[in-house]
Amino acid sequence: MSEPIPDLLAISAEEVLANMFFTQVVARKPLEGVTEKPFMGVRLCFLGGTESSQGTSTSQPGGHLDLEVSREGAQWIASSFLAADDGSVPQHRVADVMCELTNVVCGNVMSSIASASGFSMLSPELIRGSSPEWPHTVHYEESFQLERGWLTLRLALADKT
Amino acid sequence: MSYQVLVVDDSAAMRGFIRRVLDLSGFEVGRLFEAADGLDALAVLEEHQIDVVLTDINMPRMDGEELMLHLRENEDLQDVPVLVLSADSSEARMSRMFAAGARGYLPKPLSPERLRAELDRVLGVCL
Repeated sequence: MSEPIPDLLAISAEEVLANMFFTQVVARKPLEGVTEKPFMGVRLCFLGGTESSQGTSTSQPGGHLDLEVSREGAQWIASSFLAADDGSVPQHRVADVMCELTNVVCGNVMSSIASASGFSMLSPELIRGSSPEWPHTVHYEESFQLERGWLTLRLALADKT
Repeated sequence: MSYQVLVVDDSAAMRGFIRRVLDLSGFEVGRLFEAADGLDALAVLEEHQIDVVLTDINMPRMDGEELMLHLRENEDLQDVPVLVLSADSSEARMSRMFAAGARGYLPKPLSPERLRAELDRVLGVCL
């Protein structure tokens, strides 16, 4: 892993959005002044693997990646991914696409952080209401202004100390 | 020549996306089958002559690794090439999948060019 984790999160998200979800990031910035509540949230939990070296094994931390997206952003990403008319994608398909986006970004980020030890991703789940934070985790947050709407990613990694 | 392709992924949206990428890649698909997990995939493989399987890893009921282990144990199906498509591109995961019998491994995000090149390689297509 060469980049700091916030950069890794941002670079992975931008690459995945552009190359697979046909959505360009207009700006990477905190969402100052945005009062709209997220339209949809997804949480994907992952478990750390074990790295063995010279007779000792080290467990890597688990954690979770949360995605929050505005209504406009969710519809835009889902329409682009499914090659559908903007705004025509039903909500359950939008949710499916948001889960896939979370899955691919999480896989990309964790493949850089824990390439040798590996990790296991659980199924992404829609967040209904506020979701509990894990204790003893370090948080990294990146927000993106998209062609339409916005998107926030929060990575929580269990603190090894 | 066209090929019978089986796409295995629990997300209908992702199966649709893979169909689209295959189309954009120019790869000659004779018939495309879909399955939502390893168990469904085994049922398709027993019914139809499949030339190549494109599979995700994390799926309910039977995941991609288990699917490959089942294929390896089945004399009729052990030679069907399997290409893994996954967001997990860690060395640890790729080693496990190749050990389980994967012929190729493509990290997501997918591009039509990379998918085509890997399919041609796995199927031994001479261009």
